[in-house]
Amino acid sequence: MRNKAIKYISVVLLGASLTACERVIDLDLPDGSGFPYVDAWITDQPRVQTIKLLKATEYMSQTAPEAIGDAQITVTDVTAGKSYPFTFQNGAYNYDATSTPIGVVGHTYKLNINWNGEQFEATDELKRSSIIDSLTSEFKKADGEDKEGYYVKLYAHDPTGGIDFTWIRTYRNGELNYHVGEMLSADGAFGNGDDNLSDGFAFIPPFRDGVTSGEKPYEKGDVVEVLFRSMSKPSYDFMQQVQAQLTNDGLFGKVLTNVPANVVNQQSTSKTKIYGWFGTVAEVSASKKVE
Amino acid sequence: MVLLFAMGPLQAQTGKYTISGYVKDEGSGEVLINATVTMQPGGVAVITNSYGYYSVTLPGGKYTMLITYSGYKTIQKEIELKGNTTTDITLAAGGKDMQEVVITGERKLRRTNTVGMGIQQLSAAQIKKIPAFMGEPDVVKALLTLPGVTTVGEGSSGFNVRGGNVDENLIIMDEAPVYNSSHLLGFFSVFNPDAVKNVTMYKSAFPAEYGGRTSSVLDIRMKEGNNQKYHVNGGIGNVFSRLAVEGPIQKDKSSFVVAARRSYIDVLAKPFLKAEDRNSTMYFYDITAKLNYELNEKNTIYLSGYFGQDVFGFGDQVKFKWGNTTGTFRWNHLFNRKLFLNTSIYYSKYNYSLAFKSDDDVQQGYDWTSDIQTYGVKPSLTWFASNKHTIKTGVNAIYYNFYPGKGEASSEGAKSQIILDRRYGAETAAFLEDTWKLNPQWQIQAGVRLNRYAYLGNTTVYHFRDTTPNVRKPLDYAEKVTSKKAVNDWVFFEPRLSLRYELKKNTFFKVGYSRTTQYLHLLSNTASPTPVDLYFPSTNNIKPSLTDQYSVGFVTLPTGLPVEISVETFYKKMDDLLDYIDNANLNLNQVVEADLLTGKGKSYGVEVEVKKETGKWQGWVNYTLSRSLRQTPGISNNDWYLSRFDRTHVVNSCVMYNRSEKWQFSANFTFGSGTPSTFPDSKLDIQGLPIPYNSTNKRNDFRLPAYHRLDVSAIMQGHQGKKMKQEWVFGIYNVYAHKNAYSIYFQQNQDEPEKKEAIRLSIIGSLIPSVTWNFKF
Repeated sequence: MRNKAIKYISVVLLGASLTACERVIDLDLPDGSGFPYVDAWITDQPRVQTIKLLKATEYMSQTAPEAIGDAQITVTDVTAGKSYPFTFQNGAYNYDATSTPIGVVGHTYKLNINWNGEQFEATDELKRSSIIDSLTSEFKKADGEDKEGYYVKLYAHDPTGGIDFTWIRTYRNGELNYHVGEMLSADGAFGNGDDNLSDGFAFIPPFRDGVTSGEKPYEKGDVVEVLFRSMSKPSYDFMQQVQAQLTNDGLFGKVLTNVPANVVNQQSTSKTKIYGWFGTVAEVSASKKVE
Repeated sequence: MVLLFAMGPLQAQTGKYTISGYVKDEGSGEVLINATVTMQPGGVAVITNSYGYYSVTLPGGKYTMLITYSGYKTIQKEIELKGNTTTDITLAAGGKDMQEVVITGERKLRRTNTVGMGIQQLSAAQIKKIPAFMGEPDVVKALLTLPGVTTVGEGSSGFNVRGGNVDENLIIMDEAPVYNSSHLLGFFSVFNPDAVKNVTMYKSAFPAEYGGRTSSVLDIRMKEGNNQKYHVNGGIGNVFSRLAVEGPIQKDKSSFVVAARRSYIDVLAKPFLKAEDRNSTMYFYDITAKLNYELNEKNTIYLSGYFGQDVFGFGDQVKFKWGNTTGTFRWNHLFNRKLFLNTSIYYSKYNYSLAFKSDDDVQQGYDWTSDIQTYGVKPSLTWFASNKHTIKTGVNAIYYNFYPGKGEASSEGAKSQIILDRRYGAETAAFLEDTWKLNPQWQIQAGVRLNRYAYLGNTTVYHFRDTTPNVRKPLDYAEKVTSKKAVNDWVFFEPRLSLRYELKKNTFFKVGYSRTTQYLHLLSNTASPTPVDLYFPSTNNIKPSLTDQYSVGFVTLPTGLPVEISVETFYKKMDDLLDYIDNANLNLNQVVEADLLTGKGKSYGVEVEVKKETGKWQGWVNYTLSRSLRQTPGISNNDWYLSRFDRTHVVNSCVMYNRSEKWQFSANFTFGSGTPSTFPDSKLDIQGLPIPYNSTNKRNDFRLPAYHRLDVSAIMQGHQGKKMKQEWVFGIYNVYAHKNAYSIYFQQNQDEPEKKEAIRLSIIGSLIPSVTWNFKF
């Protein structure tokens, strides 16, 4: 909450000083690419589930990361005692869960990777989702830096009891809307969720308004989809750090810090590491055709 | 103690008499701090203390007194010492009322007349001469032209001294600590130059009377107010307006000063903001006031206070306030001509509140408040024991009350809140210091400070288990301690030593050592501290930090050249400095101590300065070569890394030209190595998000581009009427519009998500002209 507020202030203050400027610069960055990482998020949805084992690229690189195809990957539902083997195909490891979803709320999952003769493991728990009530849209005229267009609002609320962490993603016509960032909520508010202050409350205004960018509001005919992904506390912490690294701007930016990994090499003496994150999420979504 | 006993007979020898009194400004009756009183023949020289008091003891006879003070006309006074004498001396300012420091014809000794090193003084007049941001003279901005004082960038709060953190500066205004020295984040400081008399900064070899911070002491003394006649002065500038009133309550006996400022940047910015942002308010104001009353020759009392607030609002939706409040009561008492007692009682508070309210169909709100309060008492005794010994001794007791915060959320009628336990701390100290003129060549200032700090109960005390560094410590157990007894306490013995040796006339060699400790810490893990960062005490989980500083230097006034040349080197060793785990939660977190790490630090460097403070052309050039490093388990592969405020090379130069009584010009150029930064060498693509990654794990391995900037200003004396005097200050900040980097961050292009970019943020992206009109009547 407070970081957002501070950001708000620094934006207005810098705006008011009229002289602050941000400029894209050429910068020679060192090359530390090549280390392996996973992008492994399993959902409760009936569709093909995908896990990627990739080699990190240079930061500025525009080419797709190289996939590592010689690993064996399995996801195990520890609670139900079921295993789901993933097979490598077209640069990713897949499991066809179209008929029966892998993810079940309340279950614990383990990711097993067998690569180069070494075993790697990660676990996560699949949590319940928060509730999307509705999406509304409204036409607004240009106002300062806010351009003319359709503004979509998200109404949602937190289920009572416990602390519910949500990762909110916004899609425009099926594509991730990069003009609005990823949003993370703990019980419908900002923060680390340690205080349980907003249990059962409606999602706060920054989320309500956060699915539209004033820079590029929606147009008539656009289909706006808002996706809620539930998260465990460790996955939420991870995503918070991801978000901090993606929005490290302004007067009060944080120092670049590496995001953590939850994949653990089972050979404790081995130096081989796999970076990245294994997360399990329940998804709910709502869409709205702007008209 | 040893020194005390070694001093031999302390009684005035037969035939010796004491001459003592106050040195004051002729026009206003303000006492002058650190004025030099020299007695000829013999050349015995003493300096007035913080209350303008001096005392010299000499054999009877005829003497010529020479009294000098920077910016004032030197006066000579013939006296015949036949018995103990009280002589108050008044000095006239060197120029016209509104004019700044001019030539005194007398060489001003600054580094040469103090025993300690790393001491720098600025008078209000000097501060006003340096070209200022938006034309507003500023104490902290002026300090940044001194060697060894830096910031991480424009708009950042506070300042860093010799590689120390922002919270390691003891900033005291009439003895009361000031917790946040910045207005409008970091663009201005909270000290109103119209109410400031004198600013002294100690970067090393701290006098024993100061404690509780490890990096520097910034001692700001407020004006007492004119006890001769009423004056109103003020100014209207781009950013804010100032108004100050001062005058006698009872002529010669008592006076007052009230100074206030209010900014209106929000008003000016309005046309440029979005319609909905036009409801926004953003301003600061502050009021500084002081009263003094001379009860009789031996007793004077002072009452001073400060209240300031920054307000940021956004329609009904956001209301954000922060500010300092301080109050000081002081009593000066002269037991006799040689024994001077000052007792200060002070209070200081820093608080902030943050409130949000929804403006749409869902009724929601959020309120958050936090503060830190300090109560202190400090009696100190100065004993002008003999011309060889000046002894200062006293005690200091400080009580801290930390309120980490209360949060309250409401939504559609439902409410909930969290209140964090208050934390309490008590600091008690005793100090003793002797300034000893051993012989004409050697002077020693030796002191000790004995500190006890106690982390007090009446709170919840948390105990954590050990874990891998840089991982949140697991809570072992929490215990509610109901009484206010000490949960933990530490006792520190802090020696302070300065030696000065006169190699030859006007060339001095100096050595200094000091140990300092600190018991409160600003929790901040952003590039620059924010107004809502918390101060937190040392607890059973956070050890007090400790710094040892060694310094060696020399200063010379070369014959035939009207300059002062000085070289100072320092080495600082810092223990138990605070750092944070990755993704530390510093907000409304009851167990915030689980997210803190401690490490060590070191900094070293050399500061060279050439200064010319007389003549039509005045100015200085200083160069600092220094490093500031940290080592914290769990961070940067456990190796040493550069601190965020390491500026390897820094050059500051300032030229002032007093063209005529009407015009004065000045220019200021500054260059500094860019601040260290961490850059990514790779990228993880996770769920379509390009996450910058640094595979070496090394922190601050790169640097932002070097910082440089030129400012110019011109001061024109306007109509100097009998009643009203006017002055215009024209300035240009960042003359060649250099876009200095505040930070470089990495993002994907929003329109072409596959494209990644490095973006340089410059807080000041162009030149900033300013005009200020000052008046006085």
